[in-house]
Amino acid sequence: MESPLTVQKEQHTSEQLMLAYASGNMGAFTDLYNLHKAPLFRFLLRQGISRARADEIFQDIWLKVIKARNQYKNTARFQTWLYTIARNLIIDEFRKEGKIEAVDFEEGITEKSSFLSSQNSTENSIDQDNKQKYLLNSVKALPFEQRQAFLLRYEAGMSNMDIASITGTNVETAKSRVRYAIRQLKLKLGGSQ
Amino acid sequence: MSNQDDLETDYKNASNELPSGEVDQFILKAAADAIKESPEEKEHTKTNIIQGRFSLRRWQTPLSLAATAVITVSIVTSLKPWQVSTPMSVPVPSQPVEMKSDRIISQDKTSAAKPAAQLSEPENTSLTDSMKRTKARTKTELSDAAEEQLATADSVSDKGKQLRKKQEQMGIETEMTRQKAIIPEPSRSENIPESIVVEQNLQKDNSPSLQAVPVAAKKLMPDIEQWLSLIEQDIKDSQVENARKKRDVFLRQHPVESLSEQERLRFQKIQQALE
Repeated sequence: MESPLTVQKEQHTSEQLMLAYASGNMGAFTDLYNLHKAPLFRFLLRQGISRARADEIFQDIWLKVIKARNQYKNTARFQTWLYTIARNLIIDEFRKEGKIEAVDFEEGITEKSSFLSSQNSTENSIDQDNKQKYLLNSVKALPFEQRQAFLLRYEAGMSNMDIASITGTNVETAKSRVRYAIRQLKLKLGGSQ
Repeated sequence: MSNQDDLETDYKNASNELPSGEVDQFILKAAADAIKESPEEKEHTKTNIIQGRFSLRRWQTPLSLAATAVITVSIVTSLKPWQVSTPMSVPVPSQPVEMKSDRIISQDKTSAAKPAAQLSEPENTSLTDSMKRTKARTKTELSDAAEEQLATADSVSDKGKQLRKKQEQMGIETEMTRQKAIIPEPSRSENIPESIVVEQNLQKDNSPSLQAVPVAAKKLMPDIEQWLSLIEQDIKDSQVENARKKRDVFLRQHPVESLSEQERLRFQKIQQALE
């Protein structure tokens, strides 16, 4: 796991790169894009959507960033801003496909059980030799809010405070969601072993 | 904790997908195009926003459009082209020509400034000239003037009537005063001398209906005299309808109570003839 100092350096760099791009520096945007493209793309892939659709949403996110470059203010962390856009687009996508069962203030978004069951069926077919694939599928099968928290932690390297800010909840809830997600994955991985 | 670290390691090892090169190129190109579109305006706008300045460049077009609209509206409202310009319904009569007669009639300019819907300026001049020459032409043109008066059905102002009454009481007045008392109609003002000439001519006709009217009285109320003469002439010419019309107009302009005794007698004869 990256050290807090490294992460802090990257965050600071991201804000500077974004402001530099807003001033007309194309090289700054290239660096910024290379810094965040991989975790953001995987964050989308782990949501249980197709790769083609993930590519489209990925492009939409960056186009929004480009369009709003002049409105970006240094008061907000770039990564928080970026993943908030990503989360909102994912929710829109799920609403469009009818995957959302319910939206609760405390529980957050709940996916429909039919979607989860399809994920579970895929999961059951994976053998131990494809443990990594099994793990990735297990992440997809996590409940929506737990999945978000897990990915923001393990893909984007965010703190519980940042996760809470993006998901619209408090730090404790964000922390418990991450913890529960890890527990679920361990149970599945332990069960598969 | 070690399990968690293992989980994290396993996940990091498993999660290695990347977006395609096409997607990268598309996004980088979009970012470059966004900068190329308006870098100066962006810089200018950002600077102005930061400094709180009013950007004239941004507001140039809307302001000029607004100014054009305001100027256009103000011009249109001031000119008011939708209002039909009503020309003088009655042409302004020309200044009367000095008549070469016993009495030189000097016209008041102000009296001539208020025209009636009668003869136009050229007609006035021609009428005046023709009246000087021959009796027949004078009668015709006077008749024309009376016809025009009938057509417009204009009435003498109360003020004119009152002044005329005063004049009757006072006696002989100057032509200028009389002209002021009468509605300053070009035909009438022009016909003042004409009436005198007409009266003289009518007297020459030896019409039994005509009576010798004192010159002073004629001077005072030539229009009444003129009217009566014209009506009598129409009766003589068997133009009863015209005579009746003129009589009606005459009555509107000159009530019987305002007539002198002689004029009243004369009018009564006209009434009997028309019945």
